[in-house]
Amino acid sequence: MMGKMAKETEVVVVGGGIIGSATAYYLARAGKDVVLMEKNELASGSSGANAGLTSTTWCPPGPLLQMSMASLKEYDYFSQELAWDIEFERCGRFTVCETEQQFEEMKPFVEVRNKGGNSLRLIDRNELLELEPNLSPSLFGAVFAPNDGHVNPLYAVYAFADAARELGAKIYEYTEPVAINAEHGCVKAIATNKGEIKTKYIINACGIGAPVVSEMVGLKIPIIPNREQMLVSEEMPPILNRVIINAGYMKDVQPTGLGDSAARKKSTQTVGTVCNQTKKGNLLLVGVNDFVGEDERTTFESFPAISEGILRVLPILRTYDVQIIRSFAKFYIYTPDQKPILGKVDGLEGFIMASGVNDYGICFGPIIGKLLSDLICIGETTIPIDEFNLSRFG
Amino acid sequence: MSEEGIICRCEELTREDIVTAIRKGARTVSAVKRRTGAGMGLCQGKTCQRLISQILGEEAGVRPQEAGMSRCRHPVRPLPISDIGGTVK
Repeated sequence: MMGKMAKETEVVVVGGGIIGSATAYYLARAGKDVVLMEKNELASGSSGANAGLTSTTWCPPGPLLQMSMASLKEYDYFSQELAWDIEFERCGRFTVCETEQQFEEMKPFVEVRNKGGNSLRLIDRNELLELEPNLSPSLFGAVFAPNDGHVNPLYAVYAFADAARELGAKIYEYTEPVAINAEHGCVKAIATNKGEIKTKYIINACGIGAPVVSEMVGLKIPIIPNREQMLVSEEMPPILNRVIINAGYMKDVQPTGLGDSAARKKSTQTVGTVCNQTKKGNLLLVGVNDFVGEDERTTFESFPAISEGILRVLPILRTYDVQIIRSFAKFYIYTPDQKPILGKVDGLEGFIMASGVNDYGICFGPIIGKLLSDLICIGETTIPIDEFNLSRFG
Repeated sequence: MSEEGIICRCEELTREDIVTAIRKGARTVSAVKRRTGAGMGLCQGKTCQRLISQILGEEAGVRPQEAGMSRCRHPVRPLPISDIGGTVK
């Protein structure tokens, strides 16, 4: 599988997560000679340890919303037309409101997003309980997002990587870049622990490791790891038809455009209630978020914090006496404005950023791959990505 | 062991499932886990990890030290959610 490493290629994608493998796939599909390298194993970073949510709900109107909706279409195509089994489903999502105030705040939230092209709907308690009878009757209502859903993030990474390989991409695991050679402001080659590859383009899709690779060409990028802890339940019969997230969490964690975008301050901890039932029946319960550097241990404190929130929203879990079988922790790829860092970099021809995807990398992976492939192959993108350029940080 | 022999009881995965993952490139117990879900069930790999390590050796010549084990996380055994989030009524 590893084989001898190529000496020369057109594009090197660094980082074997969802962004890297999707980018390699779209480039290979467009006929480019592409190498995907990963310092560890495919899907061993943030892409391999998350709830697998595909959501448009939070996206403010503009390129982020356009990208999320376009990405779902790519997932449709990839899973239906090409029949890759990645457990992708537009099952819908409820952003549930626990207080009347939250419910009121959601009115302008929904209006703004629907003007921008989304199709969200604010529903009251009665309708919510009709559609999702296991939810607590104490909830005030919810934002219903019919197109949101989930995917198995591990299967998605492997499917894009396997599909890329079938199209001729070369994939090297345990291959870590050590230096980037540039001449006259152009990328020339990338040196790794396994040897050097000549290339015209280098795409930095390294997630929380992206600053290390950018540092090799003297670029500073403001990406900070934000630890997210989650719990996993045993497999159980279907108790939810859709993904559940509490409105307070979305407000704390995501750039919601509610007047407090990027509300999450450094050094604060947030506790949320997100429940996603996988195809096998496990519940993925999110989460406690904090800034602790690259410490990916889980804490005992996260267990009651997450469990109490989820029991409030889904009291039926107590009746089932559902068992928690595992906890895990990985990182959001946090940026100060919670927007991604995408596209070309001033002053270094051939170096392209594909990181800073906060907590929406799994949802955005396919469209980022497609747009960056277009950027390289035809020099422009169907959705404008200028506002995500690294230069915005000055 | 036959191709149909169950390796991961919790997730009902056969030897053939494990071998397929290895043929697709998995070279560690963690990589097999990510590709197949082996070890993600109720017992969290207590039995299957060693078996998978052995199969990695047979199919791909991977030594046990290289095959490794998947990461251990809390809880050591399943915990009822009502005990953990006990203050909510």
